[in-house]
Amino acid sequence: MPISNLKPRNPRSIFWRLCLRSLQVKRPQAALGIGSLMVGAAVCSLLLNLYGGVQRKMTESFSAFGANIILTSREVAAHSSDLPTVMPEPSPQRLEALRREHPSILTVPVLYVIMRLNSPAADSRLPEGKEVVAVGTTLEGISAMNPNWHFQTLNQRPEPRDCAVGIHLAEAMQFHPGDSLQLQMLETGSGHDQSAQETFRIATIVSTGASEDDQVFVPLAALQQMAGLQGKVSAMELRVPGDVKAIESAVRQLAKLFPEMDARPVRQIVYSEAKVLGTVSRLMLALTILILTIIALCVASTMTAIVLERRKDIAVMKALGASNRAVMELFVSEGVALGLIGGLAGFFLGALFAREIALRLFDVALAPSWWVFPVVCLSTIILAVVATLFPVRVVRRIQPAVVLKGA
Amino acid sequence: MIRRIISQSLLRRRERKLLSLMAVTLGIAVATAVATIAIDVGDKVNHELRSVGANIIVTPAADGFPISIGGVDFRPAGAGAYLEESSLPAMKRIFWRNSIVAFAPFVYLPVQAQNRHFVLIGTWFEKTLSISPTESFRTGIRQLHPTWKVEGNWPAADDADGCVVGSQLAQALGLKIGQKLPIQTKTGFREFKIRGILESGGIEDQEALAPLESVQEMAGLRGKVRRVEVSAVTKPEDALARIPPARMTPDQFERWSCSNYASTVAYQIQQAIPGSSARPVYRVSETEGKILNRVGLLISLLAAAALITAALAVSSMMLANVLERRSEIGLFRALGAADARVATIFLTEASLVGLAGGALGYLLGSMLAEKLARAIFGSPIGIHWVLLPAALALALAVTLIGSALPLRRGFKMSTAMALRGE
Repeated sequence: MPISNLKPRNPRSIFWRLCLRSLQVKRPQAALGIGSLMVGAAVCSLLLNLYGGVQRKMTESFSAFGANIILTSREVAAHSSDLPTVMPEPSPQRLEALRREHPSILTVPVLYVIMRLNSPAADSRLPEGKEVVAVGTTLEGISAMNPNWHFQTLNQRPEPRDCAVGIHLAEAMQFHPGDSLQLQMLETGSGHDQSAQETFRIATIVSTGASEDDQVFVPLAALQQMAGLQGKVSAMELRVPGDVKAIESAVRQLAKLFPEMDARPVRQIVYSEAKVLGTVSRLMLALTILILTIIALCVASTMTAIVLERRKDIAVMKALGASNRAVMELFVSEGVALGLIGGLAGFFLGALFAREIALRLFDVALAPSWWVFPVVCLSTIILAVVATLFPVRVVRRIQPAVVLKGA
Repeated sequence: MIRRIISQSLLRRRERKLLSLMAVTLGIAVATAVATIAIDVGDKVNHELRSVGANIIVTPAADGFPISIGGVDFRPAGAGAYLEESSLPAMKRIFWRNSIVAFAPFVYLPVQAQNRHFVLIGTWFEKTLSISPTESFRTGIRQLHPTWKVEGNWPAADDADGCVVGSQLAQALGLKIGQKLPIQTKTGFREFKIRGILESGGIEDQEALAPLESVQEMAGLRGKVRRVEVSAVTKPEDALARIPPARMTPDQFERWSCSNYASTVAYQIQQAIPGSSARPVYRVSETEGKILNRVGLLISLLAAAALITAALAVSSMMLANVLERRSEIGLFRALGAADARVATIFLTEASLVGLAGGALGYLLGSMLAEKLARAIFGSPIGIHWVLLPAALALALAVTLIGSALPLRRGFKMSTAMALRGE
């Protein structure tokens, strides 16, 4: 056959044929290459997918500390009581506007009034007419705001005159759920009907470990009525979900929405959250980088070994007249192919694991983070290519005659 | 003969050996670093979580009807019961004394200034307690609430007339730092100097804080405190901690006392301070328990990933090694060596690399962990010697198994093929 017939009609076709053949023929090596790339991509995908979901969950955990923003009156009025100054309750329209900005904000109004506590049972053993702090609020509100408070609730239909009593107070007065108590205004001489008492049914005993254990919680409207403070509250407790930035921006918005009030973050919750979450993120990042470094090294060494294995192939190609560049092109495109396959498979495997772990261990339904996909695939391809390019020295140095002889 | 072969083979191909050693060292270093941090991360995060504030409150057991909002008591001095200030150092002598990070006592006195009523809170800003002749303990509001912001300064330890005014009160009364604040009580009047303005986000912003002794004097309550807030490093609650102590069996009680649950530390404080009642603050202790559990889980996950990765890296290196030396294996077998002999040669080399790499990796990993801990937590991490045997065992196991498996495959190949270099 004349030598001229050996010239291929389309030089590119040899390129692709060689590329595909190498993947078909050297299947164990290709499998090893894809395998190590896949594991690398899977671990990368797992850690990155998990990162976002766990961050959110950790931020959520801090919401159990209670209110993180307090709205109080800007004025500190001069009056004989040293309790927090009362202010007009924010109108429903303004609260709506607030909720439109922050859909998952929780707002609870509170009103503090010192009242006299009586037990209608008139048991002579029990102390009569003690002063207590009565808190006007909604019980659903404070139990939503403080999920870690312990509530012991009466197992009956709720009534409009239900109240809650702190456990310490309940023990001192020997109250049990179902008992009644009476609250009476203090003698302030400001013209209130001092004999007016309101009776409430104790539906819940609250146990918190703090001041609430000595307080009585009654419906806000009832307390406002008794104290002659209709439409007034001492403070609005708010809980804004999210990290420090979200909370600080909420504080600024509140200052604009409610200019006559003082909006302050509860520093010990908000700034501790910032500190702890910051630390945990940095730690996760550092450890992830360490792990990914080792993976990169592992993949690189595997790919390098694969290339080194194929010295004979390279020698043959060079003997047939391929330039160094052509050989490298071939290897790089093989690297890209391996990287692509490994990256895709690894991404989905890692994402699957991440979802399972997030569900079982962290109770989070992870939505796939689509930004992870291009990151993982691209890094895998780049890693495969770089690892393939490493032994470029070796390729250059190969002398076909020497290698083919078997040395 | 075998010894000669092994020693010769160790000396040859030094580049390759170095590469293998490096791979093992790096893999084990990362595994050690992650494991070291995983052991201590719970404690470190726990300390950081303490800036959330007190998780145990100590009050007089005989105090029936406090009138308090957010911790601030509005009763006149003289009403209700008190604790003895002198009994407080006993808190640092309980079994779990090292869990107690900070505490501060409080007295509350309703006062007037410029015709406005507020509460003067007496407390320790920063006090050095002497627990024993050799041990002292620095504690106070500054350690208890590190997130509180003070514009200006906290009063110094010997500054009996210095006070800190809450930001809302300062705004209402038009007070500035450096101003004198005459405070009137029912019995008299005292002048304080404003050293700083406090921003906390709590009810303290509407009140004022002054040194404990000064307020005790004004109230006629020398040596008495109304309430103590304690910040302790505690273990998350589990099933054991939820059993009421009175209903525990002696064995359960022993285990419970030897763990630093919030309820345990509170119980021990209550025993140490006469006439006291100490309770965990659920809002704080239970929430941080959940957070600590989550963090622990996360770090364990990373540790597992690190171990798997390290094992993978090392075994891939071993695989590459064995594959490269197929012709050598073929040569040995062609010369008549038994498979077991050949295996001995290679596995001995592998185990030497494994041991050396394991030891180096452990040292490197410990140093890495120390650097990371300083950078992230700002505090050092100890060396965990218990990880050294673990690191060596892991390195040995992975290098041996990583070499043994490809060796077995190699033995199945025909010698002729191996010699030819296929």
